[in-house]
Amino acid sequence: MKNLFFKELLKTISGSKRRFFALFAIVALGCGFFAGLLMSGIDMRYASDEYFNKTNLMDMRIVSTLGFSEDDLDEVIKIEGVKSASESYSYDAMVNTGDKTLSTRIHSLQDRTVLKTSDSSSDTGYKVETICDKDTNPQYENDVDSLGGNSINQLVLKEGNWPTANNECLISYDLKETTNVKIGDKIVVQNTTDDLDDWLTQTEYTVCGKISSSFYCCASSLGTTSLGSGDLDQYIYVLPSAFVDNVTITDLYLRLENPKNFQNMSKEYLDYVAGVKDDVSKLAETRQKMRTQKLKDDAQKELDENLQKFNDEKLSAYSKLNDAKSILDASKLTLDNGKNELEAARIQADEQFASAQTQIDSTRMQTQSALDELLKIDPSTLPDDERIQWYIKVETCKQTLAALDTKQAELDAQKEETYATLDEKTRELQEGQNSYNSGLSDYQSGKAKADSQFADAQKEIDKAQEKINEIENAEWITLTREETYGVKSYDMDASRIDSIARIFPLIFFLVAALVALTTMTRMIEEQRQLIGTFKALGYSRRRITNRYLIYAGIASVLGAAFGIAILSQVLPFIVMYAYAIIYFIDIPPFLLPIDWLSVLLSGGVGVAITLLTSYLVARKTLRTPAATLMLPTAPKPGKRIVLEHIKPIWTRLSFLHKVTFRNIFLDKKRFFMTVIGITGCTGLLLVGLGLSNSINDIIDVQFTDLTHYNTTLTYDDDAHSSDVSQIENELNKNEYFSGYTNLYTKSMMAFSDSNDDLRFEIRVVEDVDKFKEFITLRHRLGHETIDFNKDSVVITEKLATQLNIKAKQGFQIAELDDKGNKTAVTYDIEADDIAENYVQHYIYMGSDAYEKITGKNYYANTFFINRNTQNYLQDDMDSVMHNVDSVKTITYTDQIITLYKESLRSVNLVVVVLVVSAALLAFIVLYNLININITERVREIATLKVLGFRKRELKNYIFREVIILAIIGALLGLIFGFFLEGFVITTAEVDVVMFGREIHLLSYVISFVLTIIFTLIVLFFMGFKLNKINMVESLKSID
Amino acid sequence: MALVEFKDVKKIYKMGEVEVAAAAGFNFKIEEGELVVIVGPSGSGKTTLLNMLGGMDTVTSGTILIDGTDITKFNEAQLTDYRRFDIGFVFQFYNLVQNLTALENVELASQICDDPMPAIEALKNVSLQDRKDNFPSQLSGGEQQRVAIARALAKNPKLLLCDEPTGALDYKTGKAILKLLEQTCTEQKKTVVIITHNSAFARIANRVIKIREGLVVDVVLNDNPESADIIEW
Repeated sequence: MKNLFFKELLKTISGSKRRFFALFAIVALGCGFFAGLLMSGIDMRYASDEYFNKTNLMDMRIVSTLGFSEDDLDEVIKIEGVKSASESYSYDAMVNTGDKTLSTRIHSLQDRTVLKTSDSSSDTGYKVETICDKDTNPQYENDVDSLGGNSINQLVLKEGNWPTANNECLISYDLKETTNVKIGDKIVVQNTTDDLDDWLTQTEYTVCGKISSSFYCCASSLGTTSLGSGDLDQYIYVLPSAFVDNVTITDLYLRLENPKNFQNMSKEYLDYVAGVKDDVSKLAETRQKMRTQKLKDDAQKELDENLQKFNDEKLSAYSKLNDAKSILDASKLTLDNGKNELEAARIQADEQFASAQTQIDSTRMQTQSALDELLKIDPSTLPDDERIQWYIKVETCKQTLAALDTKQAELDAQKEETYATLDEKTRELQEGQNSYNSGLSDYQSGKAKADSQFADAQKEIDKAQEKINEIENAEWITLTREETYGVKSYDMDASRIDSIARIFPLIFFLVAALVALTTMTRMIEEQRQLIGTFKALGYSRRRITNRYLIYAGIASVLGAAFGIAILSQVLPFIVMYAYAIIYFIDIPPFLLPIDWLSVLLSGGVGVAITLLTSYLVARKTLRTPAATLMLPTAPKPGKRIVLEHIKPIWTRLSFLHKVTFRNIFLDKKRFFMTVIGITGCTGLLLVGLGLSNSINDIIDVQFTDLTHYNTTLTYDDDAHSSDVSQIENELNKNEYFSGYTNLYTKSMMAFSDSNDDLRFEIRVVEDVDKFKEFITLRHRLGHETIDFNKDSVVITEKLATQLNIKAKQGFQIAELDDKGNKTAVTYDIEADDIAENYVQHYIYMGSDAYEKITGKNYYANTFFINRNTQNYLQDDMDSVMHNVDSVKTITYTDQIITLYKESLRSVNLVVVVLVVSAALLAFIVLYNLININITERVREIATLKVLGFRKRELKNYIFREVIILAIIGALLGLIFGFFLEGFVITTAEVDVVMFGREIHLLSYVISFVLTIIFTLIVLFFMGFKLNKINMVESLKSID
Repeated sequence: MALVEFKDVKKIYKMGEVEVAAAAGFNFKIEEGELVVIVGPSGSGKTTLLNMLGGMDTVTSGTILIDGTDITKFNEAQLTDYRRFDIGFVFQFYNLVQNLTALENVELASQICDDPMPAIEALKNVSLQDRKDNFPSQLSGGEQQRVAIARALAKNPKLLLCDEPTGALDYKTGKAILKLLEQTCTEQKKTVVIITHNSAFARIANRVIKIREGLVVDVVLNDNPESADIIEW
């Protein structure tokens, strides 16, 4: 007998395929959607956990303000909970990749990796082995399987090979910026940073492979840097040996034991990591002191050595100088003596010659006078003897005179000789004097030079000493995985899907309940007589109820199973595929894991709703006595509706319209099922289109209404004024540029009581009036322009929202260090007004306000430029401007717009999902409604056919009410969609982007029209069913 | 020329291998203005006959001439027009649209015709003008059948076809309905065809067509039909 009961049930199912299908489909849609959305979040988390585990993404990264010592790694591994640790170097530089120059973090592959394994024989219970070391056991490949899967932040090689030479590098496979870079291309590190040589051995690298890195899993933000715009554009990996020897270790990466396999970003995981982080902080206290001390000691030792060398050099230099001096002094003495002697000799000679001359002269005079006396006497007068005497005397005189002449000549000769000798000596002395003089001046200049040189050196040494004294204490900064860009936001995105999962399926379940209600009501009504018969035969009420519960149960369980099986795979995939634009996280292969709790929850809700509804309907009918059940139900009495009392409208309606209206309001269940179903349909469509509007608005409003420049150029803060004027000279070329203004921009961090560490760009403006030609600051509502002057502070809307502040409310901003980390330099500020903005966070400040707040002097480092895009291409600009040393980055608004348009792909997918589900919803509901309507009114339809209604007239008559219900539902759907879209937008928004808040009029129109089109499609197909109704059969008897 | 002429009209249903003839070859004529009663027991094929005559069902073979036109050659749209303009139906179970008032039910028919009788006049003809704003559920069975007749008449049809018009009614009411149909024929000069298993009705007819097992067994012409008031069953 039981068999018969079931047989009959099976027949019922096969005999009412349409009804069964409607029930099946709506439950499938509702449960599938719910389960799919529930599992999307779960699968996203699963995907990220899988990917991060597969690539052994670090749980913690330690950076230090002073780098690390070799043995820091050996200490870190000892911390309880740390499983493996590795050290490596990184350096930020501008890198030219052929067509663009990108701020790049150059990473070394692991320099050294240590692994801790448990070892009971050891005192500590573990042993630490070095599984990779650049010097002894280098590991070039950092692939997923390398080092037994223990290397940290493994890269997935997508193309090419691992680097084997120092001039090879790996670039990102995922980043848009480097899509055009091919393997074998050369990239060049730009020499814009002073300390480049302290880090890298070369500046040219050949791309040898392309990799995915879980450490950089977010496209929208790779991290911050002091270079360029402040955002990192790309990363590359090179061999550790491409860095100079003994370069400072910049990064330590830790992987934790995580013995219970807590899921990435789960509360348990975060708590566990926080526990280990505490231990790292403890270790940091001693290690950072030691690091400071070591650096100080090293530096001091070097300085001391230098000082010693300096002193030695000084000593030897001065002693050499002194020696020279004493030689000079000695030669001076000799010279002086010589001079004196010569003087004396000359005097002596003078005297000698004078006296000799005097003697000769006096003798000559005596002899001459004597001769003259003799000659006065005439010898003839003289006696002979006297005369002879006279003769003798004269002769003697004459002889004496002759002798005197000889003597004179001799004296003259002697004199001449003597004086020549003396003159010679004088000359020699003069020469000696000359050489002494030059030696002395040499000595003096040498001494002066030495004096100044050594004074300078002393100053430098003093300075170096001062520097050593001033070395700040090293500080370890421990960054957990949570703080890695993309990891947390991906998890938050998963949570967003979770919250959407809580709202969206409600519509489907509500409609499912209504579909079940109408379907089961109709079914039970049709089977009144059967129920009566069963009852009369003595079947218990429960048994008969079970019949319907089993029917509804089979339909809903099958529907739930089907819907969940399909959508729990499809929806998570679509969601993850959509997010794949932002996150480089592998989508797990099919089949995606099934979360049984979600299956039970969604399936349970779906089946329960159906069963409960069926039970309530069945119970009501079963209370009726069997005898009454055997009679056909009295047809529903015609009823006047409220509208009929509004005579001006009612009388104007054709009576066919009147009957339509009566029919609409006759059955409340169907009315609500249809209206709510269609409302849901239109609502979903509007959400989809609205989302699309919102994203498009970002582009349209942000880059058309709010900003009015197409190029941004930044240059070094300490740029030489000649560089700046070189840039300005170029910008003044009117044929290429229609205008520009300059300002100061810098990345900073904002925080308030309600939110921490929101990165924003500060834009400080001096030429406020000019600035207004490039940026419109206005309120989002009403578009009222904000008064901005040199004393103003204006904050953008999303930043204010996230800080939870209003205008004139205080918050704080902090300066960032070179690596983009928050520093202790903070300022209290308050904004005067809040400006409309959709992309990124900004705080606009007048230069006076800036100077007052920060105490710094205003200077510019950025140009907003309007370039003539027709005759001055990006390439032109790049080639000209990058010749100027100080130019850091040139950003083109077009490129940013393109980037945002790319992300539309994800939104489009969401739109497609929403449109498809909206269509399905509409189809199921309308199908069910029309199906019920037709089966119930089959006699009426047959009658009309007999009366000679043509096909079209019949369709109009029967379907008009469907169309009216669809219109009512669609109108309500526009209202519902408006609110739902608001919810979805605020839930789906990512941190630095604010979506547009307006749904375009066209979207309302499209949603409405599409709903009507869906309706017409269903009507088109149901028209066949209408045609098939057989007058003869239908009128034969009362059912 | 006869208004209606059936020539060897057959309707054969194939039930698997077996062929069942609902109409094994009907041959008869109906003249304009006659009150015709087609009488036969259950399963004799009288409803099939009516369906074919009313353009609701197709024939397997034979011809049905209405005013000389063979409606068996009509396509669906032509049949619809035939029903629309030439035929008025009255059913056993009235088949009124529940959600329309009496007047509106009549209008339902009159609004699709070229030359309809005003709906209110049709209701007057069946003496229901006072109940015109009532819904079918507010009317008695007889009243509902009268609305159904008014609906059929409002179209000004060539033929008024009535399928067991009194079948769901009590004796008295049934008699009144019969009277109404008789008046319709005599006063409004309509050709009325009544199908019934009740041979008592034969007495009010101008022409009685007796059928059995898909064949016309007898056609009786009655020059002096009795009034519906005096017949008994």
